[in-house]
Amino acid sequence: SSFDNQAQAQENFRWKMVTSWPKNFPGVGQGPERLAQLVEEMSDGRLTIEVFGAGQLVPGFEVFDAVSDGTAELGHSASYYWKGKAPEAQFFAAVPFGMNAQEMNAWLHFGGGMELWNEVYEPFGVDVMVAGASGVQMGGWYNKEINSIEDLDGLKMRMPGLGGEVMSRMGVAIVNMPGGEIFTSLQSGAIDATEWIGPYNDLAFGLHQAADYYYYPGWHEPTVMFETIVNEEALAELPADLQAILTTAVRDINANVLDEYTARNNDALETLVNEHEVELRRIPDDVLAQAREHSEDVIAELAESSELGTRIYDSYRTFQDKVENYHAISEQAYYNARNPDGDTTQ
Amino acid sequence: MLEFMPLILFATICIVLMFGFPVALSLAGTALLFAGMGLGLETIGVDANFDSGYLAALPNRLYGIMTNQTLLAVPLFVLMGVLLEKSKVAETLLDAMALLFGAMRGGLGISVTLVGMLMAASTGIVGATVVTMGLMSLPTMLKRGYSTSLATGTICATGTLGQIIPPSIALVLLGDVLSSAYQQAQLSMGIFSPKTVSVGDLFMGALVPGLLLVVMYMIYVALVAWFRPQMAPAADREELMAELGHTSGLGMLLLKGLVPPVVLIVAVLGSILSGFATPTEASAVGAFGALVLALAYRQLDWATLKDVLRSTTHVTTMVFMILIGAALFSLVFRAYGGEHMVTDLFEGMPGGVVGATIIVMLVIFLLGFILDFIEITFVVVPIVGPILLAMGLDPIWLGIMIAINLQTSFLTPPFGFALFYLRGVAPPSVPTSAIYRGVIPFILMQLGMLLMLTFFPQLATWLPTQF
Amino acid sequence: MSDTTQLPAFIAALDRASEWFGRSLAWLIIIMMLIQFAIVLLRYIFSVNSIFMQELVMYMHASVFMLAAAYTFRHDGHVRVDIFYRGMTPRRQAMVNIVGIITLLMPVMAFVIASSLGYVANSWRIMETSSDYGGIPAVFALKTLIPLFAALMIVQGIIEVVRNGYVFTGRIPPSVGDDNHLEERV
Ligand code: NA
Ligand code: NA
Repeated sequence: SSFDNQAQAQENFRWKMVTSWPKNFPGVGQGPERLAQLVEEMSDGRLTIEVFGAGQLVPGFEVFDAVSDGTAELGHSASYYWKGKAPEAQFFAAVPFGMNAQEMNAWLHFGGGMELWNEVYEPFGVDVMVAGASGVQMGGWYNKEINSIEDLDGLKMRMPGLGGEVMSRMGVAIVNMPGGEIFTSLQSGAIDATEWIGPYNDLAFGLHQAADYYYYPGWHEPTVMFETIVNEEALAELPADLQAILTTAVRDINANVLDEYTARNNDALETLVNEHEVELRRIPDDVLAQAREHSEDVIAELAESSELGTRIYDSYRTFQDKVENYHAISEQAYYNARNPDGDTTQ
Repeated sequence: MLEFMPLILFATICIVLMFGFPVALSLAGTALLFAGMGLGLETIGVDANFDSGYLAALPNRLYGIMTNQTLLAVPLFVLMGVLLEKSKVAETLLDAMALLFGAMRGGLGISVTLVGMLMAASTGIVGATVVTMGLMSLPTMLKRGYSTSLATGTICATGTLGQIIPPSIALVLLGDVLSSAYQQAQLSMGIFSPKTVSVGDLFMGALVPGLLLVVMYMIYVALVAWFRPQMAPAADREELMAELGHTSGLGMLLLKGLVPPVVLIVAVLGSILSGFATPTEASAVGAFGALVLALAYRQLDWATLKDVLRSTTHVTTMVFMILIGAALFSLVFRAYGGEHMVTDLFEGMPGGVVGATIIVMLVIFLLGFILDFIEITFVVVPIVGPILLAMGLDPIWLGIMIAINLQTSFLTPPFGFALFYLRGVAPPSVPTSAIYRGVIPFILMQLGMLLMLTFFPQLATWLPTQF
Repeated sequence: MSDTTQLPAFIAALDRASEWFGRSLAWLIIIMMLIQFAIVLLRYIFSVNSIFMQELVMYMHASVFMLAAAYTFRHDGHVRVDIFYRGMTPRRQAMVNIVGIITLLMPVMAFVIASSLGYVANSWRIMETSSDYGGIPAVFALKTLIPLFAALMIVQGIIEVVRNGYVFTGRIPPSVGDDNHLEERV
């Protein structure tokens, strides 16, 4: 009844948002902070969101469970962390040699991607919205030169997810280690290489102090798409206007996080190369070619693992093929036209 | 009064702990009783300022402790310590080192400090180092006539040094959080190509203060040995060698008693520093090496092995149980708005950057009584860090100050992690009061270090600029 | 404390089971050490790494401290601030333990079970697997350690209430030469 609606409209909501990033983490960690600020302003304080960094309320990898259980109403994370719960979720974060941020946004919002993503989370009582992107990442920090496929054999590298599985099929010893040990392990030689994010975050992490070569491109993560997840029951309790405010604010940070990365990454890269004398290296073509082959296998296996996985893969693949064709004569052709010399770092 | 609930909770826990029921259960149990009270008040319509939502995070927190890969090193370092102790390898090592110092009084104490420094450098986990050092060296020190307070004080203080001497897990975690806080501070000041502070910078910054502390500890032990010889007696070469059953001369004893364990410890340390292994893996190398040594010295039979494994199980479980208790306490503390109380406290503090720094340091010191390093790093530093750094403090300096401050807190009676852990492995014949007395001089040295850093921040900030 | 003969038969049986279980768990320590050592050798000599082995070490590690918490409690291995406690008469110590178990231990462990059941059930429902490629597909089993830990603590708590009750009423002498490792060292 309208009376109930009125009562509901006057109610104030205080929500918790758990994230998988350290509090104030540059780039992706700014997304949830901005979300909280926007929502509070737009709702005139009727919906306030307290943002928790990883480990503050729950550990970073417990974000999904916490939102699913209703311990927190909101979460900010990336879907590949939930592989153990729903392997199909990996399609929505980063697919090796898959779509970049611009293409992912198109697929998710206009190509049926969001519907499929929500279908994956449905059994958990969780709603999802895409909430930011890293853009194309870097290939990683290496203390060994990679001049051919043979150089990968026995390389000790930290690389989680689908990319790591591809690398392990190329002879790399994939090592699992806590974030806190990455820097010292790379510095000491316990691992030869690690992937991280991109120049902006890598510079802050100080990886240039621990490694000699900075390889590109990040074929394993042509972008990572971040997610805002919402507990369904909590969302249902919000009046329609607050729901609209929340959705709009998430859409805002989705763009904002990527914009920030695009702006900051090139400044940081300049600092890395000019001030810290980091040696930029391009991953050799034959390595890329083999990685591409193995990626297809790994992704096909993931697709075959369930009926839903197959549908997601079909949708993803179809969209990527189409957009690739168009982008070949638009984005790619334009990049070539704008800068015919292309990559001059070799 | 309800807004002071976090304070009342803190004070109540301090009282409950005094009754002597196990620390972990006292922490968790008292917190839970307060949570029940909060829930009760809310149910009868009193606004207790209690957000029960926090409690639901407990299973997530417990699972986080279970799967924390950094903490995997704890049982293996403990195993190494117990093996070295039960097989008498540690005793022979320390005796041999003491013999090396010849007739110098306090030689054993200095040896313990040196071994502790190496141990500390190889892992940054307070629990692991205090426990391992306590197991390895306390029995020997007591046997050789050291006063219980000097022995326990030296071990506690040396064990907590692990936080300062790189590579340290504590500094790594702190580095992560500080780095984000530093960027946040600069962004809030409108600096959009922010400078950075990395884990490597913190390691460099910690080196000089860490080594200075080691030197101060050793000077202290030497001074005590000089002025109070009965507290730190010199090793009697003839007697010691007779007891060790070596008639073949000092050279042989050193070769047999000193070389293998030193090789072991250098191997553990070296395997981390040189890239053979991460701390977790090095702990396995160390434990395996200790097993081999124990077998080589023919000191390990079936019964001893069972005994070693049971002791390791008890000590490991004791360490993790405290973490579990602290997790529940932390959730309740914050459900009552403890976090906001901390923020309000120093945001409303007059006196600018000096006042704010002092308040933050005091709060961290007090929280260090019952919260562990991980908890404080993740909960307190992200709140206070950006504000202090935006006031212009140097991030490396702040990081080192926080680390030494926490180290001091863990040592300060009546409650502190180093004290809990050493109590947990010390023989019942060692009174807790002796431990309390023993740490006081070291606390004073720590405070001296904090003062020195305040007036000569270059002690922390100079070295990182050289690279 | 190992002497159970004077306790009621049922409690004594539980106590012996607890002792046996804890002793068995202790073997996991050396197994996990050997596996972790093998991981280092494999990586150093053969440049291979097994995520499965890495996770196996983690599973054993978690099993030890979660499941042996009760065993450690049985041996009074959980550290106390004993500045006053050690000076108390055995009767008074028994009183502290009885009150502590009933008002602190029991509610905490009951709460751990209550708050974790849904969490664990969700994991079982989807048969949660590792979030890493090559990991152990039994996260649900790992999570089950949480309520199991609390249940074992409750059982041990009941045993210790009875034992301390017997000490308090003078039916058994206070434990002196307890088989605890802490005493053996001196
Ligand atoms: Na990445
Ligand atoms: Na303290």
